[in-house]
Amino acid sequence: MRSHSRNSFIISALAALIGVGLFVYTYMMIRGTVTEAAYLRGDLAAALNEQTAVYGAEKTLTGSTAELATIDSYFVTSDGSVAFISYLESLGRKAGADLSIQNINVVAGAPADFKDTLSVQLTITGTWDAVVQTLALLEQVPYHLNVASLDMSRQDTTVGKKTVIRWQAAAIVEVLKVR
Amino acid sequence: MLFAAALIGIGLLVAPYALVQGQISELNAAIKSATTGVNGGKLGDIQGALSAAKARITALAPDQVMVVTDVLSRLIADKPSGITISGISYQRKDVTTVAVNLQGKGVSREAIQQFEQNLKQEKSFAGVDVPVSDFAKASDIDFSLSFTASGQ
Repeated sequence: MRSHSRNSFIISALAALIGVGLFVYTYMMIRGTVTEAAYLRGDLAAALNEQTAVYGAEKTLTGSTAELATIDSYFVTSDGSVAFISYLESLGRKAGADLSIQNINVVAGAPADFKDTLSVQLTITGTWDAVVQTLALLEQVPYHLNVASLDMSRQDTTVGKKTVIRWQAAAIVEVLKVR
Repeated sequence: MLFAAALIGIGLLVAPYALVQGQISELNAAIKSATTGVNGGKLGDIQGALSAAKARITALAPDQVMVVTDVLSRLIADKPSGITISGISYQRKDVTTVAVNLQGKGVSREAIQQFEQNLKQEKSFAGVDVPVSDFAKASDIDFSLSFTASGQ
């Protein structure tokens, strides 16, 4: 009888211990899950902020299409070299000078770059005013154009009793060209 | 009794546990949805477009050199009577400086000196120099002149 009571007590104590242990384990598991949920809420807030920023940037980019197109227009397009050369020649005619293209050379940019440099050797012949006006038009073209070098020389010729003063300018102009 | 109480306690905790697990699933789904749109192409596209725009804007940054027509107009403005220019060369050295050489004829040493002085007074011109040997003749002097010009 005493032995039976003792066994019952031990079994009850063990059951109580297991029960409490299971309760504590379950409680800790829930606590961990709640903590994880709190972190996930933080991650979600960060992800939503990032999403908002990205959509904002996308909206700005979409709204800047005209500005981006304007930026692109300052470069010679990948297939626009011929049109650009013709355009340069037209500037000479506009200023009353003779502009002729001597050589065109593509100076490759870095491999990862989006652009090359188009180096154009040209000569301009005419009166001082016509040559200078052509140079002014060249410097104001709606491209990113630089005059890299220029050699101007006066060339006097005598026609009858009159001396005709003409100038010749040999220039190298550089313009950026999209690949 | 205690075991039974613990089992009841566990039973009571199961419901909130299931609730929190459900929330975690919802949160994970929401995070996945928020990041899929961003990481799945949009962000890359936007970064690419911004990088391209930045590269183009950087490439278009204006140089600080003095342009040809500015150099020519100042030469003409500074040229005194008695000086005839027969040749001008303009060579870009870097993004701020150009080297200018000029050949001409002066009726006298004084005219050439005056021209030199006028050019020296230009703030954007530096190192204006006429070789002394050019002053050997007293009149109808062929001379050369060199200087560097930098952006305003």
